[in-house]
Amino acid sequence: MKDRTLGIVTLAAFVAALYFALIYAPTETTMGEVQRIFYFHVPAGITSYVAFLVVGVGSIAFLATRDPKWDRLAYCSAEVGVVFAGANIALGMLWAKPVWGIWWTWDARLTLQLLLALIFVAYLMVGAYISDASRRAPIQAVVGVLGAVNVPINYLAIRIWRTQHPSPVIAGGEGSGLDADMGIALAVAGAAVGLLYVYLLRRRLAVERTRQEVEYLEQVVTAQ
Amino acid sequence: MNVDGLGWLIAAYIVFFAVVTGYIVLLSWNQRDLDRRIDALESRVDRKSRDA
Repeated sequence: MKDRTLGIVTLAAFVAALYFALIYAPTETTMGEVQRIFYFHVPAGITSYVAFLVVGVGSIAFLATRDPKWDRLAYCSAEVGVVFAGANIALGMLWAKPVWGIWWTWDARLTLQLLLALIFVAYLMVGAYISDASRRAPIQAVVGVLGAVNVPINYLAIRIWRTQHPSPVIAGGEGSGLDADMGIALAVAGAAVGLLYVYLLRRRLAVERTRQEVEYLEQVVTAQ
Repeated sequence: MNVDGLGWLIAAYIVFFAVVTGYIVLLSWNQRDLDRRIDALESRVDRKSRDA
């Protein structure tokens, strides 16, 4: 699928997601309208996990094969992952202030999600500070693998520890669950955010390929 | 307790779409800038090849 087509499909998915999140899903009894933040907060968080796991897989593949395409995939996915993690944290804070009365608390889930985002900001900084690709890529790959290890710990945080963050509503065991219509709204929003990740990753990969082409042409011009 | 918080909901959605749109705009600017540099470099390479 071409980027333009994917962009249009993603846009249509977001229009549907907004309908399901704002109109179709029932209003939550206790929190009221503010609960609807959940429909984009959760998918943004899950997508950041997926993006960082892709970094981990790409980094391992690069260390095993030394093929630069894996390094490129990992680097681009890390950048897109940081965007989603940032959006997830921002939405969480905008939900926490009216519901908890505070913007932030250092509980396990919140702290680990912030740490995860910061690890990948550090990963991107390694890329920015080391210009020699042959030195940069292996160091970055190691940081990428270590960062990805944090993903399952973060996912399990609200299952292992008693946290201020709400308990899981999906696959949370006995007593957990979500109203069917809310579940549908979450699934549609999740699909839209998932498509957005694929779209952004493809656009970012195209930029990275062009940047490498520019680097190559600059070398050719200098050598002539 | 009934929080409601329609204003917070609107603020959150604006933040989410602003972050995503901002990133797409940055990617587009970056791509356009790189495409221009490629055009300029390719014409320099061609000119140098002709001169040689």
